[in-house]
Amino acid sequence: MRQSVPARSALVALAVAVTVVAQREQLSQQAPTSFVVVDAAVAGAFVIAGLGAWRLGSRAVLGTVAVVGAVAWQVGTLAMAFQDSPITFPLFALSGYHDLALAFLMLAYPAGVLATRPRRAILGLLVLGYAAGSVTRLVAFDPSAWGCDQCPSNPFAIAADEERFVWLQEWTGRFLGTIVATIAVSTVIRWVTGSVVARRAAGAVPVAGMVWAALFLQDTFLRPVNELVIGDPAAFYVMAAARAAIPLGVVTGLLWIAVGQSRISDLFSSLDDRDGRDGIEPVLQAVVGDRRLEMWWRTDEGTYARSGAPNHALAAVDADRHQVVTTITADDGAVLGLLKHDVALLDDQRFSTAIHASVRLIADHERLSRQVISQLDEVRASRIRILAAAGAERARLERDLHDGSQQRLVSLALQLRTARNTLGDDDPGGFGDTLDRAMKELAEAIADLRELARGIHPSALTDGGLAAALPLLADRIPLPTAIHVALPGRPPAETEAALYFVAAEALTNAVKHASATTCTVDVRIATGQLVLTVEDDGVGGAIVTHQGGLRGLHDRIETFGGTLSVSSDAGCGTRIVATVPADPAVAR
Amino acid sequence: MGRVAIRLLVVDDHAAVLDSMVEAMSAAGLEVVGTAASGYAAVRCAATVRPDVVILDVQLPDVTGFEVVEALHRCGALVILTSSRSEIDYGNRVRESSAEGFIPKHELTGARVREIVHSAATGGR
Repeated sequence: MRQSVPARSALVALAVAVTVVAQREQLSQQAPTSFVVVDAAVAGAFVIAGLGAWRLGSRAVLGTVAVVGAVAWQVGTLAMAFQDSPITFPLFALSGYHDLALAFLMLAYPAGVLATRPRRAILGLLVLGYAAGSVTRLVAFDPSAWGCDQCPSNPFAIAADEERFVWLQEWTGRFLGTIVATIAVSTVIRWVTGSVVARRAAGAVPVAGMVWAALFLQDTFLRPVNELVIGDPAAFYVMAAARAAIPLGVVTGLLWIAVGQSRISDLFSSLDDRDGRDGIEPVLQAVVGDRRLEMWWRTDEGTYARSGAPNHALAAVDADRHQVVTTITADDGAVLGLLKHDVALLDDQRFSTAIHASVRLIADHERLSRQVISQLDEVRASRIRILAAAGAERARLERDLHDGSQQRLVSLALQLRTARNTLGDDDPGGFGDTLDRAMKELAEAIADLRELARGIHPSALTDGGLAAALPLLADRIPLPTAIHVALPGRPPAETEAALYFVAAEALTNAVKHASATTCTVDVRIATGQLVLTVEDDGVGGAIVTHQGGLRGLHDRIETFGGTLSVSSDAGCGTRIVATVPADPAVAR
Repeated sequence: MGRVAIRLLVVDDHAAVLDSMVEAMSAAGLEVVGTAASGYAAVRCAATVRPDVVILDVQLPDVTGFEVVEALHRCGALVILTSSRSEIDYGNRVRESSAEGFIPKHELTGARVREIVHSAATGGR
């Protein structure tokens, strides 16, 4: 039920106005101050409960009924305050409806709707009883005709008859009293048999309801119905307190539930992705306030296993009478799991929806994570395969050069040398010089080819690892370079190659761009990582561009789960640090 | 320097290169008493023919030359490593091995071999 703010304000204003008018009238008639205070306080309790229920949101009807109850409560007071005027009769006819409001609150709490057919029937009977009582009081009641001299005459009394009136009032009263007692008793039964969670939400309502019902019965069965003035002030005060306690108890319970609702945000912020499925059960228990809550995830075998106990799987999950098992499904209808929780959770649709949503969220998150991780693994594995294939291809090229052309050239060089030696110093045709020149050319060709082969894939790396290959690299550049390799063993070949090419590119850059005068290369193991550091004392200012050589190194190092950092402030030299896990199995 | 007949075992897996080496060594007056195309064949052969010097290619199909230097020494031969790569391509491994010398393959001459043999004989490697 939705009402506008003005409508609610008007209703509250009406309750306040009626209370003020009624109590001023009572005071002017010398009613006891305590009576006035208590009477106004009950109205106040109804209004406060109404405002509270409205404020808490989802069950506005409970708030409206409470504020209407405040007005109804004061109608009776008005009837007494104006008992010298004929207006007292319609007011008297309409008095007592606050109890109808209380009955509704007790029946509809906490959901704000009459959830079951018996409850709707009970309220229906109550409404009928009240209507009958109102009609009786309006048309059959005329105390002026029954010997009350000060009483005004009832202009609506078209069927005034004292005996009939008393009989009707007595029996409608007893009828109503019985129903109210039924409501109170059923509330208590619900409370006693209910779950801890439900009991906590009900708060003081059942106790207040019992007091209210007891006094209501006493009132309707024992008090003469034609007495307008309340006989026993003590009974009035107790009754007033019970009546005030019901709406206040309702709003307190609503507040308790609302605190739970406000924990929906706690729920989502408490869910930790890293804990995944196992983390959700304790979070839900804490947020719902239900330590018996259990989350059973559906396994691949179609059974259900509780978080943290994957080996103890069940085909079905049972619940006792305080608990229900709800099925949580994914968007496509697939069953994700079963949630066993207190029945009271069902009273709060929004909350249980949020809980289901949170479970779905975790399940989805985990499924997507698994997908992404497996895709990432696949991509990483394929990158490693591509790099390994490229590395193998380079090694093969180098070997082919070495085994093929280079061997032929070497063989040729040996033959030329043999020829030259055979020729000796006896060289009339000057062949010796020609042979010497050819041998020199050939030696250069062999050196060139060797250099080419090294660039493609240094055999020193294959044979002796970084400790062998890096000094060789340093020898080839025109820059004093200190090499320090401190490794306990040989890393996997792909990792070695990746680090080697980082060093090669960094040293080439130092020569080409940095105008450096010295360089250092350091390889060591630090906290389980292989760390290669290349430093020069050049001009700095190197950047990782999208297509530059450094970018390629970056990709190469990332492939092995490592990182490459370049610090190269202008004027401060360049420092390139490549870090890869020492055990590549860990990275993958 | 007097011409001592040095008995050689030449080891290389490339047949054409091996032939050229044998030819060069023979032409230089060294006596090639055997050839081998793998590390294990070299050790077997050395045990049989007892050469003075083994010219040992580093890159062999079964093992690297470095790995059989000791075994060849036990057969009483000096070992001269050779390769179509240069010494620095092997980092420290040539220096760390107990071989008596290293000659780049295309620079292999009788004179270089004698030099190393002489140097080893006089104990000044």
